[in-house]
Amino acid sequence: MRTRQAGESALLLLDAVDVLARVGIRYAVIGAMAAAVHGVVRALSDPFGNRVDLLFGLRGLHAEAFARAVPIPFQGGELRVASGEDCIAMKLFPDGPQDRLDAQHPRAAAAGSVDSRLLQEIASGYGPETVAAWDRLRAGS
Amino acid sequence: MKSRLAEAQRRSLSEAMRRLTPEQRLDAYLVHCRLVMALQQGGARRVPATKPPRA
Repeated sequence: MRTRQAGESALLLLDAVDVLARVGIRYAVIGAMAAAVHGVVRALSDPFGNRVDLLFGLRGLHAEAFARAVPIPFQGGELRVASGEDCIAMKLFPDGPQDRLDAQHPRAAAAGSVDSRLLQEIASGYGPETVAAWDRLRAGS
Repeated sequence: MKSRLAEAQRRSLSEAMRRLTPEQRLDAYLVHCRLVMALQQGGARRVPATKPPRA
């Protein structure tokens, strides 16, 4: 166990990733940690201390999302973080205010390096509402 | 009214964040979470539980 105190969910994730690697399960980190990599470093305060959510079978997830994940060294280990395009599309899926804000940050940080065609394709997997949310974000509204 | 000082600092912070490598961003995230939790736990110890208002 790498965790020593509260606020170390990122280290707990490294432990979880070790287990996934041992049994050969592909994964991609999404959420606040991925947002930190692609745009904005925003802390999460977890009332449970340290927690990692493992999500399986996400509806609409693009088949190549795992292959696109970016390996990033972290605290002596490595995390595969979902690509910027996958993160933006996932954040647009529920289309809540905070999610849209999170989607805007990585896009702003990437400033032109986002593959719009790929993002359009990924968004289409999540349905027409996500495509519409992406169109609105692209148009700056 | 907006604070020009705060706006300038926000821009500066944003620029500084943009210069971080992905690895540095993950490290910053970890430190940020530790600090937020320490603040939260410190506050919880200092602030006594609120009593219900007297009838």
